[in-house]
Amino acid sequence: MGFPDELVTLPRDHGTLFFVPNTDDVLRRFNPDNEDIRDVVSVDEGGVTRYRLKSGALTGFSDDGCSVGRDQILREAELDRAVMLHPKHRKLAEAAVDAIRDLVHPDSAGEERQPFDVAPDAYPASDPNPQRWQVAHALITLAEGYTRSARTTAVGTLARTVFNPLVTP
Amino acid sequence: MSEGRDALLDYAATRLDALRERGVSELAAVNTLLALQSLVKSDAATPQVGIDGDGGIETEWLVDGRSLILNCGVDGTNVLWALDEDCQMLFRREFNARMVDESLLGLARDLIDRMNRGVRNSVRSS
Repeated sequence: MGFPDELVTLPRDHGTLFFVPNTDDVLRRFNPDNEDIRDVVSVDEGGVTRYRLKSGALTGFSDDGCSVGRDQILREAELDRAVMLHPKHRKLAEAAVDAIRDLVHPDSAGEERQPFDVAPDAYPASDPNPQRWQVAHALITLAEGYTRSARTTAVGTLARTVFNPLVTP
Repeated sequence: MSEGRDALLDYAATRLDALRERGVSELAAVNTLLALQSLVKSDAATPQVGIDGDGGIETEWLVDGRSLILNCGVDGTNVLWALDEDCQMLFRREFNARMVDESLLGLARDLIDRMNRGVRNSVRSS
């Protein structure tokens, strides 16, 4: 079954539909359920004003993973990053795939591991109303062995040290 | 208790009330407030109350790249952890919000004291 005509298609043998290279970047829309930007962003109160994501900006790890868009696929499909935006979440955060995979954080047993990976997931079957940008959809996944407490600080570290909030029009 | 400390706790309580209205865990909200009452001793760096990705509450002090983070989960688990300006973890400890361990309180208050001296742009004044 093909995609609806208005959606973007890429060749079936397009390699990056099956693998996310380390050289790619991913984009995360701020949590669609948030009504207040302060819920998911902290402001540095020091000499230089800058912003950091809270872990609340990265949801889905207790299910199949955290939804992101792959910048390389958006470019190849000639889609502007802005297609990912929505009136209720007008901001994106960017992260390098290699930095996501390289992050080290202890699991629930205290063992230092690299818990995150990025997997392609174009047009996820769970979404009954696919959007054009979802040709670039991917999931950040968390390895097993991270209970709620360990997951919270692992995701919090990912949000703060790997993701960079972008200001978009 | 200083007037400034009261103002800071009021600010945090207002944010917690807003999150309660949006359905965050009541247990997480109560534990956050209890922990803040132990941690906050003066009025400077702001505990920035927000959410985690699991229905709990995440509060962060952030000054010059240093973070102190308080996570209170829906299951009653509380974690206090910190990152230095190079994003390296300084400590990470689980605790009971009704009886915070003195050594953990000492670590956290020392960090907050250092942060207080660096505050130049308070989020409460914006």
